[in-house]
Amino acid sequence: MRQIGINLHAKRGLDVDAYSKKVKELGFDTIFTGVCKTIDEQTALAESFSKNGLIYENLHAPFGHINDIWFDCEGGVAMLDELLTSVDHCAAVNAPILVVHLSSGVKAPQISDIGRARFEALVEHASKKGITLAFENQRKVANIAWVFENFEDCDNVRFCWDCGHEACFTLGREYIPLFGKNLICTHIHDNFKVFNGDAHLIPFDGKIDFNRFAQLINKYEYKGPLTLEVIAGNSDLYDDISVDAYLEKAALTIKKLRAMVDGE
Amino acid sequence: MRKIGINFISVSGMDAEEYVKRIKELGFETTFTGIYADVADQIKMAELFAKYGIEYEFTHSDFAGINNMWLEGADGDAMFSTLKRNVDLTAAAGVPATIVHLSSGNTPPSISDIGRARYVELVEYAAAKGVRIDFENLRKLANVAWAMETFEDYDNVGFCWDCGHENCYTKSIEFMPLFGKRLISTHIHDNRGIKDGDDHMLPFDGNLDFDRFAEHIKNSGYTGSLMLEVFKSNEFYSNITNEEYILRAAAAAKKLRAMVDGE
Repeated sequence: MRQIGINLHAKRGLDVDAYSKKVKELGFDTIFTGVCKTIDEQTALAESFSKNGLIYENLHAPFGHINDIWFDCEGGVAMLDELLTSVDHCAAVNAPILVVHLSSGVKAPQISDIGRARFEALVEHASKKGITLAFENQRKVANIAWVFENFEDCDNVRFCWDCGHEACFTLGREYIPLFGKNLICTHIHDNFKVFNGDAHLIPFDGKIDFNRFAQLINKYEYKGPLTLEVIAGNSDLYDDISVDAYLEKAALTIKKLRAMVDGE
Repeated sequence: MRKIGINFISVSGMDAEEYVKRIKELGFETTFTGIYADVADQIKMAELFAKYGIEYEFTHSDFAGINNMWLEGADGDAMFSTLKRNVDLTAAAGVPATIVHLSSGNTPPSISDIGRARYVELVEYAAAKGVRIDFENLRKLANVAWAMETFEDYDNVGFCWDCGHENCYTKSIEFMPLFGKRLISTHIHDNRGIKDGDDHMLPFDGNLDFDRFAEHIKNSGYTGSLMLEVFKSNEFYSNITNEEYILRAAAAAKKLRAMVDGE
C-alpha cells in the first residue's frame, strides 16, 4: 500500500516523541520537517522518528529570503550557504530529499547569472552528498521550468508538487502536466482557491478538486508517498479541536485520498 | 466573422501579385511576411497587400542566430541589432507587430543577464516605434514563460501560439492554458507529431488534434485571426499544383474557423 506522510507539528501541543508516536499509531508512514539550527538537533528528530517507526522522508529547506539567491548581495551568499547546509543536514539524518523553493512573492526576481551559478553549485553539492533536490511550485512558472530544462540531465533534480500552492497562487494552472514526469514528493493541503490564501487546510476542508488530484497522480504514474503539509495555525478552522482530534482528522482524509488515488 | 490568413508566400514559382490576388479571392483576409533586405521592399509588400484589401498583420523577425541573444559578445550584439532593424522595417511598412523567437534548437543557452537586458531593450524600442512584439513558442517553456512574466504589464507584448511547434517540439506541454490570456496571434500548421518534425503541413494533413486547438482558442477568448504558416515545399504536396494547394489551404482554414466559431 502506498505510504502516507505528514509534516511535524501540524498542530502545536505535543512534543516530538508524542507527536511521532501519535501519527505512527494513526497509520502515517513518513514525516518531514524543516532544517534545524544544528545537525545534533536534526539527528535528535531523526532518532525520535526512527524509534517510532517513521521514515524521515525529506527536509524542507529554509526560504525566508530565498529571493536573495538571484541577486549579487550578501543575502544571496547567505541563502546559498543555508541551502548547502540543508543538504548536509539531509545527508546526516539519511533524509534523501531536500525540498527547495525558487522564489517568493508575486514580484519574484528573474533568473540571473549569479542565481543560476548558485543553483548549479547547490545541485552539484547535493549530488556529491547523494541528496535529491525537489523544487516546489510557487507563483512563477519561468523559474521552475528553467530548473527542469537547465538540470534536465541531473538525476537528483526533481519536482515537489504543492497542490495547495497551485490552487491559491496560480489559479487555473496545472503543474503536473508540465513536470509530472519529475515528481518525487508531494505537499498536500487544501484552501479556498482565493488568490494568496495559502491556508494549508486538511484536504476536503477547502475547495480543491481532489478527484482531479487523484487523476493527475495516476496519469503521471507517481508511486511515492502522499504527504500532507497541513498547518492548523494558518486558519481558525481548527482552533476548537485538540491536537489528537486534528491528527485523527488528517489521517482519515489522507487515507480517503489514498483510496481515491489507488482504490480501496 | 473571424479573419483567416496565410503566409506570404506558401508556394514557389507563383508571381507575388498573382498569389495575393488569388488568396484574397479564396477568402483570406490577412497575411504576414518575413523581413526584407531593404525597407523599400517591405513597403512594396505593404502596398501590394493594401491594393488587394489584405491586412498585413505582422512580420516575422529573423531568427537565424537567435540563441546569441543570450550570450555575451559580438554575435549577440549583432542579433540584437538585427531584431531592432526588424522592428524598424515593421514600423516603416505600417505593420503593427513582429513575431520574435526566443531560442533555437534543443540545447539553447539559459536565460541570462545579457539576454534579459537585450529583450527588455528590444520591447521598449518596439514600444517607442509603435510595434508589438509577439513571442512564439519553440522548444523551451522557460524562456517564453520568462517573457510573459517579465512583460506582464506591457501593452506591446503578446503571445504567438504556434500549434505546429507544440505538436512536434513540446508534445507534453500545452502552451495555451499557460499563456492563452496573452494570445494575440497564431501560427497554424500541422505535422506528423514526430519529434523535431516541423513539417508545416496544412491543417488536417498531419495528426495535430484540431478539436483541442479549437477548444483552446475558445477558452482563451481570442478573437483575432487564424493564420496559416504553411509551405507547399513539403514533399507531401509534390503531386498537386500551386492552385490546388491554395484551394486546399483555404478549405482547411475555413473548416478550422467553423470548428472554432461554429458555421
